[in-house]
Amino acid sequence: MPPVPTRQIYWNIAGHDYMYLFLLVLAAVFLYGVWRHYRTWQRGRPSPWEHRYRERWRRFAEQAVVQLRLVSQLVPGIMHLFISWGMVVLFLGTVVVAIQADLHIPIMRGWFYLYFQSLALDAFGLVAVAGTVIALWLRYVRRLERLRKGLFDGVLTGLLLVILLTGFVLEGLRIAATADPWGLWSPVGYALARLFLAAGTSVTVMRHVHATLWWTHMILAFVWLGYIPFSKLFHLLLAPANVFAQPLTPPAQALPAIDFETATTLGAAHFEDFRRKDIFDLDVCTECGRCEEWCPAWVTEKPLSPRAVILDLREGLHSMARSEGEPPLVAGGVIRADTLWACTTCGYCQEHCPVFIEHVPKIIDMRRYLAMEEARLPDAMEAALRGIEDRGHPWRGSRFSREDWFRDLGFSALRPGEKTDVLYWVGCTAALEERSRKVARAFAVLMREAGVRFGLLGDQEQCSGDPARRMGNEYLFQTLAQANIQSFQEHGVKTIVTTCPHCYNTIKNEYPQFGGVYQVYHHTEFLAKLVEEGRLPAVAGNDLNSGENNAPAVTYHDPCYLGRYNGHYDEPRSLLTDYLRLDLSEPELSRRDSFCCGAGGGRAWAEEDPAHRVSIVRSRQLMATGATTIATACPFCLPMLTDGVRGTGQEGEHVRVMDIAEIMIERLGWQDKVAPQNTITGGTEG
Amino acid sequence: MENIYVLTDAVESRPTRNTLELLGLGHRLAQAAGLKLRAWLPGPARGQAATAVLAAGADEAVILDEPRLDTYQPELWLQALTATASAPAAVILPADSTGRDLAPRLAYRLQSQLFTDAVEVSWSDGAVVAKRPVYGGKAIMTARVAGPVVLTVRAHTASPLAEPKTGGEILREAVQIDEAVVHTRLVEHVEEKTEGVRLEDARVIVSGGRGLGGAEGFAELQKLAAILHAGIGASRGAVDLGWAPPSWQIGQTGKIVSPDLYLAIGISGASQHMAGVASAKTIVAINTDPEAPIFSYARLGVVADYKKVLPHLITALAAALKQ
Amino acid sequence: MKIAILLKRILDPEVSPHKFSLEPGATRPSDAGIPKVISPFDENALELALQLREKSPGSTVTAISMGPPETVEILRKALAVTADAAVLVQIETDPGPDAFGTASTLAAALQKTGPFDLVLAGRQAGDWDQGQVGSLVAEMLGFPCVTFVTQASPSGNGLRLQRESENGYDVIDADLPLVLTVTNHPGNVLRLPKVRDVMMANRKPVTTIAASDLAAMSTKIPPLEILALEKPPAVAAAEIVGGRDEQEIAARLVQKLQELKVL
Ligand SMILES: Cc1cc2nc3c(=O)[nH]c(=O)nc-3n(C[C@H](O)[C@H](O)[C@H](O)COP(=O)(O)OP(=O)(O)OC[C@H]3O[C@@H](n4cnc5c(N)ncnc54)[C@H](O)[C@@H]3O)c2cc1C
Ligand code: SF4
Ligand code: SF4
Repeated sequence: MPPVPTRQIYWNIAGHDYMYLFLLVLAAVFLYGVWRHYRTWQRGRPSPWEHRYRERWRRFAEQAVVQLRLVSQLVPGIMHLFISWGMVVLFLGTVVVAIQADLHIPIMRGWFYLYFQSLALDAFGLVAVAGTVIALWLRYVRRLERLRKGLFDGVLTGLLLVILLTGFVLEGLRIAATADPWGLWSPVGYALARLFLAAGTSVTVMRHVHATLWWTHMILAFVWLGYIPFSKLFHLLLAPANVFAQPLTPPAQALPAIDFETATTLGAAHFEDFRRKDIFDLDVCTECGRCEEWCPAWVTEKPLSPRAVILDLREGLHSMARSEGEPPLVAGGVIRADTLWACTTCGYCQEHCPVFIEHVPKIIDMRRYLAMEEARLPDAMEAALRGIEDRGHPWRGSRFSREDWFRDLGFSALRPGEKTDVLYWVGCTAALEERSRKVARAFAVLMREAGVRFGLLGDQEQCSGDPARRMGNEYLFQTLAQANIQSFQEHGVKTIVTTCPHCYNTIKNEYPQFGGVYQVYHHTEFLAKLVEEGRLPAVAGNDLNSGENNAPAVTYHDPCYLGRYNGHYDEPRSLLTDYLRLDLSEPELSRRDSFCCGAGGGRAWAEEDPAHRVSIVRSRQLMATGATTIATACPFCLPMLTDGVRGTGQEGEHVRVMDIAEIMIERLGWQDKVAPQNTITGGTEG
Repeated sequence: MENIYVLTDAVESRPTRNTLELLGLGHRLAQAAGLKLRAWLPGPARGQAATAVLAAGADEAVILDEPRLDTYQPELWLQALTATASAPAAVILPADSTGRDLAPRLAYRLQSQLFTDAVEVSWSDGAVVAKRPVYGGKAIMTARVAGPVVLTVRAHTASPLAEPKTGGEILREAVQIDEAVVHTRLVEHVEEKTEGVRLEDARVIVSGGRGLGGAEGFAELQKLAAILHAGIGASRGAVDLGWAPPSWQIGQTGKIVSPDLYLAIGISGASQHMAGVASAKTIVAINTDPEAPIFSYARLGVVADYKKVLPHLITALAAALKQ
Repeated sequence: MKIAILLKRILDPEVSPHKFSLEPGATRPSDAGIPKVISPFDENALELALQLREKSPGSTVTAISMGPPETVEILRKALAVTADAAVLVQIETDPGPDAFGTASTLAAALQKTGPFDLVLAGRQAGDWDQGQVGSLVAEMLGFPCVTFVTQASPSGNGLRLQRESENGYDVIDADLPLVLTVTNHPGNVLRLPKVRDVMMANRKPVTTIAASDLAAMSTKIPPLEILALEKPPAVAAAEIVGGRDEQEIAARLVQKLQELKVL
């Protein structure tokens, strides 16, 4: 028994030096592949880069090492963890061999040899095998919907399995043929070795098979590795890189501003108009389809899949060496215009992409080109933009003015120059849309009862610009943002509360781009604060209040721009359960998985085929909880879901859709405080 | 003596309904002012209606006896009207595509005042006093127009004479026409084929919503529409459910209409829907829900199940319209 | 072809009825807090002008508007959809219902900045709804005039037009020079400006002419003497028609409808 545990490298492999020839070829092919990609990445405009390396490494640890996002889908997540970690460890094992064999540093010995190079490698090899088996099972047995495409992906996984298994067989043969005294430390190899011996295989045969298999294994592995930069396998390298390089301020939440003085093209006509990071994103995609799974456009059969957007752009990128003389992407068949207009900018795709690809900014960039360079939008969206431009709001045909909803409640708009600390930013929808106006009334009354002094802009308020920006008219957005910032300045505004998550996001995250920095609250956030400060009376009763027949009283729909965009998942829920003591039942898709109501990104003004309406799909999901009240916190979700619930037919007849502020009024018994206070205008507060 | 003029139109020697209204109005004005009412009948074809025109209120029926005036040609008509208007105190034209086309130019040529789209015209203190909607009907303007004036008057705003007038004189004026003034030539007239009444043009629209409960509800609505000569509309609620075709949809994302009467049945009155009927004159709603927002837009409301009301309404309307 | 398009800046015709207010005795509504827009039919006319320019190369489109200095805003919008030039005929307040006065000032402005082969205007302005100025301008310039035009294209030395009529449309050939008043049609919805053109429009010059400097054609015709400007009787919440049974309700409803003269 040799005193120090180790093994002989290249046992039984005559002429193993030829391997270096293969290695050279592999390296050349690999580098060529990488270079080809690198060249295309350079076609973009420079991307901004925030340093904050601590934050970057933290995210790397969470998402590249622990892979939290992947694990949010348990089985596929484990599959990926198994394969990726198996491969990382096996790769390290190969590096150790190289260190010993090529650098002649004897590290493959002793406890390190036993624990790492034998035991750990075997264990992780096994984990990797399990991972590939799960992967194949998901694809071919469970037939996961999102994995239906990608024929070749199965082959790559199968090949990986073959490489892993041949590795184990090689180990078994070596242990058996050399009667390796440390063989037990490689349990899988050892078990196989016992098998070969038990079958009475002669050493000669084993040597023979071993040699042939070794070369096969090596060549297969090299082919697989060489293929990396030419396929989605490239994500092995690019995904961790993308996790590290992700923008720390999400560009969907605060879209990059265009400098109209210097911009040569408005929006993205060609690849050259995208940022480099956007182009890099295209190559990172693993085609996993997670983005598509609950994309509201895709689910309702619109001509948009976020995965297809990325893959179509990728294909265009690689087939179009230069853009000069080529038609713009949206005119040249790379991306269809109606694909871009179908997006609600709900952010589901980006929130679920395991490799942190950002779909929304790319979609908006191409919309910008359409809206500003070509002035080409769907009719209904165009009408909304015109409304914003001519009248400062998109609700053409509203019979209300911005001051109608509060007049009978005794509030009045700020006079020119009058100062206020807290401004209630009502937003166009809560001020002008029939259904949502009641939310403005409810919230204003709640604030008054809590003793909050606040100002209202009334007619001086203009659209926050969110719809314009998301429909691609950045110019109009900037005009509005500047005008609104000026009114804020005029009235000395420091704190802004808004009932609209879209206004909230824009004012909070995007106005700073133009020098407008304020303390911005969403009304649920603000109300939760008032409750915590004890400024609103307690709601009677100790037990959670259920609905009829013990059904849950209420379910909650997360507005995209409140939840996914700004992370406010808890305040609305705590108002419903802790304060209002209502029995809350979560829909299957909630919090970061929430399904859009269909109104974002200007879609509130788009025509939508009734047979495939996002709001109806979402209403069904919410009604499946059995709750008869659907709570939400957005003046777009409110009419959308009201419409959606009705669209479900009979089942919807007993279901109400309400804003949390309205539910608070109801639970506090303050209905009379929000009811029309006089009838001079003929009961128009219907 | 000064005269009041009315431009008349006739189909197969019968004055049109609109002409009868204008003659009735002209007659009352002439009586009040102590003036003579002269009716223009452009072209010999229309001339055949002269007797009927006298019976409808004219003191003199002036036939512009020139065959080239039988079809409408604004430049020739203007020439003829300007030449034959003698001492006009007021010239009354219909507020339709002919009258609106002619009025400003005629007023300029007669160097007279101009008042278009009148809905009420009276004579007071030696001058015409007229009312018209402005700002899309958000306001009514009343103006006094001293001196000669050309007026266009909206259909259905004046009533024909209750009893035929007797007497009166038929004059034939041979008008000199100079074709050199013609710079616009009619190439072709195209009739647009529409089934039933076009929504955009309809004076009356009956419209149904989700409250109709099914396509059968729209079949009932058809009956009502037939009696009223109405166009049929729908809310998106109904269109979405496939009970009505999309071309019927009224509202923000549908058609914008401006009927005199809009009958909304089983429609809740969402602002997106009401955007399409903002300029409807009178809205009548039938809805089971007394709180439905539609009642804050409607002039008249019925809180009831439409299924129970509609049959009675159809009978009552049929009876009323027969009279 | 030298094309002129007359634009009017008006109080937003879609303003909520609550917001639309008339002071007692006033002869025009208060405009506080209400946006002003291009009169909708003028937008259709502008679109038609742009389409004609595209169809007959070498043409130019000049936008002309009469009003106080702020009227420049709508001229900028015309420039943004690529009108070639803009002229502001400056007066102190928004033009009222004096159509002869307005038309003679505009006619003088057209003569001063012209000569034009074609003048377009909306069929009526969305504030006073009178439908007079376009045709009056034609008379004052001595041009023929076609009203309610929806479509136009060059044909021979003149234009081939579609004119809306009661139950269809007429096809009309007209000689130049010519005035057209335009009505809405799916084919003449004003295009959306491109942002680059909007930015350019802010830099393009707008010629300003003081109305008082124009030798306006004098008319002996005095403006209308407005006796009253009032809101129509308010339609308060619906009057609910009741009755013992459905039959009585139906009968009463018909009676009410007859009283309202809407049948
Ligand atoms: C972006 C957007 C755009 C939209 N655009 C439009 C548009 O252009 N046009 C449009 O119409 N809608 C539009 N909508 C939809 C609009 O918001 C309403 O959902 C829709 O108008 C409701 O249709 P409805 O009134 O028929 O249905 P509901 O709102 O369901 O109303 C049905 C009514 O019928 C009554 N009813 C029930 N049974 C009876 C009975 N037996 N007898 C009498 N009454 C009965 C009920 O009380 C109820 O008031 C749009 C919505 C959105 C979000
Ligand atoms: S943002 Fe929403 S709608 Fe748009 S592609 Fe992503 S998931 Fe689909
Ligand atoms: S974009 Fe992201 S989530 Fe979508 S398929 Fe590619 S890797 Fe998967």
